[in-house]
Amino acid sequence: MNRLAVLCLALVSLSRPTAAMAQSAPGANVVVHPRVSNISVSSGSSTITFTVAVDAASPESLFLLTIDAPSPPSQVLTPQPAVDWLAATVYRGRSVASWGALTPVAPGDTMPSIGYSAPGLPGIDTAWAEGYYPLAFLDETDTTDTPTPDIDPLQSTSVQLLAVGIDPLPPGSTAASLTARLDSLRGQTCTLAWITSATLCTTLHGYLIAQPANLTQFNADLAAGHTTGGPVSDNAYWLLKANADYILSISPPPVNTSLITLSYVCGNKFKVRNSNPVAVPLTWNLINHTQTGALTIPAIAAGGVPGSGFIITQEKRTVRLSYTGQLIRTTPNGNTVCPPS
Amino acid sequence: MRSPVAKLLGMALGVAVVWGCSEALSPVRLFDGPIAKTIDPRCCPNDAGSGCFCPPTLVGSSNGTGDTAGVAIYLERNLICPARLLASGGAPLLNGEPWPDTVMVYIAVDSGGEGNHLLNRAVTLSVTGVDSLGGGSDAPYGHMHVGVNGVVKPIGSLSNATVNTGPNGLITLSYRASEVSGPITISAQSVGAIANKVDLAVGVPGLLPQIARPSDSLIGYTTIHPNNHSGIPIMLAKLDTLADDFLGQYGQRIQFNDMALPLGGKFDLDTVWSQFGHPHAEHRAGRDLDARTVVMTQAQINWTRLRWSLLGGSSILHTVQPHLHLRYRGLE
Repeated sequence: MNRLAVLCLALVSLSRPTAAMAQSAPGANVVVHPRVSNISVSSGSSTITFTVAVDAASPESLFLLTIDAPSPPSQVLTPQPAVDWLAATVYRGRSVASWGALTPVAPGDTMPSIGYSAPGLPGIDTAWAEGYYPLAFLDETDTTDTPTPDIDPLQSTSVQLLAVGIDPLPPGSTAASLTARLDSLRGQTCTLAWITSATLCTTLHGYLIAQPANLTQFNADLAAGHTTGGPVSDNAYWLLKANADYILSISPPPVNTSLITLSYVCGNKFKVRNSNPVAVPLTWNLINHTQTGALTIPAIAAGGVPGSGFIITQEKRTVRLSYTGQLIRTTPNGNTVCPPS
Repeated sequence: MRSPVAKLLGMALGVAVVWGCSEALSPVRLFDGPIAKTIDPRCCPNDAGSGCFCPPTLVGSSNGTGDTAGVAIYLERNLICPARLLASGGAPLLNGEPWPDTVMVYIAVDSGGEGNHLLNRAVTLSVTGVDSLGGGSDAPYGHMHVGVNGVVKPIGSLSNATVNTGPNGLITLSYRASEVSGPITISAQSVGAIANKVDLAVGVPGLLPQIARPSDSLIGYTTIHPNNHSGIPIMLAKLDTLADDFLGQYGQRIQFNDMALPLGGKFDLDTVWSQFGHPHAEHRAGRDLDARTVVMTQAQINWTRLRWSLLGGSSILHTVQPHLHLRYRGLE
């Protein structure tokens, strides 16, 4: 079973049993498979592109696809020529991204690439597909006074499903809070069978709850599963990867402790050098003594000169240097006299 | 800016009755109201004066003078909707409820002098409408025609045409409008008393004329219904958006045919009051419009259908003089 077929089943199962679909109201009998083809995130805004395949066995052609957009779209991308399509960002006052096919997309065909941009990050949102059906003919006989209902096509003539959308960036987001959100999305993709390997779901979860989270490996495993016939669908891959990439982009670069040195200078003076591209906060203490201290060593300079700082101890003792509580260097006092300054 | 109701009242000739606490209305005509309070015309409107009661929109008069008795006839209000608006989306709201198509009518025969109600007096009532080719007080309603082939303009009905004021000297009945808008007069007479009458307007309040835009063409005017584009404000706003977007998409104007008559009610096309033929059954409350499709491609029809749906409406296809019938059934 290929990945697309898996996605089909997931979406159909969310809407209603396949057997029941043919019995639904006009418009609610279309079977579609939205598939993310790319997501880019830049400056806190996301752009998603999709293709939407209409199942060959779908009783109806696709007329309108609407995705809930809790973050109002800044742009809706339509296929060309644009005159053949209707794009909208508001549905009855509700923020959406919506594409209408003025020539409905027939069963077995695929809607050309569509997409939209909005502030925020990729998430999972409600979507609706409305099938094409001939309009009813108006019977204007004047012998009855029956109320004509206020029909909402999303509720009455559409199939509801879940799709990758764009959600607002939660206020006060941090790398840690977004990592927790990413783990929640991972869980949803596994529940939706957008990722079909339970083992991979567990492994990915482990990367996200590690301290610090191992997003690089998370992405690597995700990519490894995103192959033809692999357990990671396009929707899951792009959704999770885009979020992981964004978290990496706002996280400070990792500190390589091998690029930090501690050397004895003279007297009770030690020098710390840092060749990392970021400033590094460090702590130190003395063996067999209560004195402790903390200092932040600047990042390596543009010319390649390491950042540096000094430690002056009260007594002639061995200095132990630590990063995030982990001992990284131990240097004894060399017992030399400093030259007169 | 005048409210739609005020505008409608202004348009309906001879029906806007203004009450004031003026001594010019003396002698006092006491009138027992529907909830056992004394209605004094001098209190109206808005319970002006003290110790008396007046329904906020009570209209009418007591017609006695000197020593001569006269008929008193009052209405709850002098504007009601035409009947049978449900298929057109219903009447506009009045205090959160559909504006009624029925009004209570209070009848008494008051003595001259003190104006006390006379008991057990027979009163005969009648209803008349105006059917004058639109040249009279019916002009604002948009029907510039009279009935032909014996078809008579509907005028609504009273719950009773002959009543007796009984032991309380007061009788209450009701008048229900027909489905046609227009001016109505209810007359009452009683032996030995000066006859009286009261005017009211039957129409849908709140409709505004659609203003032509560079993006649309308003079509469908006829000599008998020259004003065929009136609607509720939100319907007009949505149609403006639809037209502007259509122009933006296709570079051509959308053609808007019939919506509703200026004061709504039955839009009888060329059938002059008849309920048969092509009666525009839903074109009564300013919530329905026909968009002409013979000049559209199928893609343009689909676009119009989808765009109207996104704007909150729904569409039906009509095959007689093909058009999309655009409905709006959302909030006013």
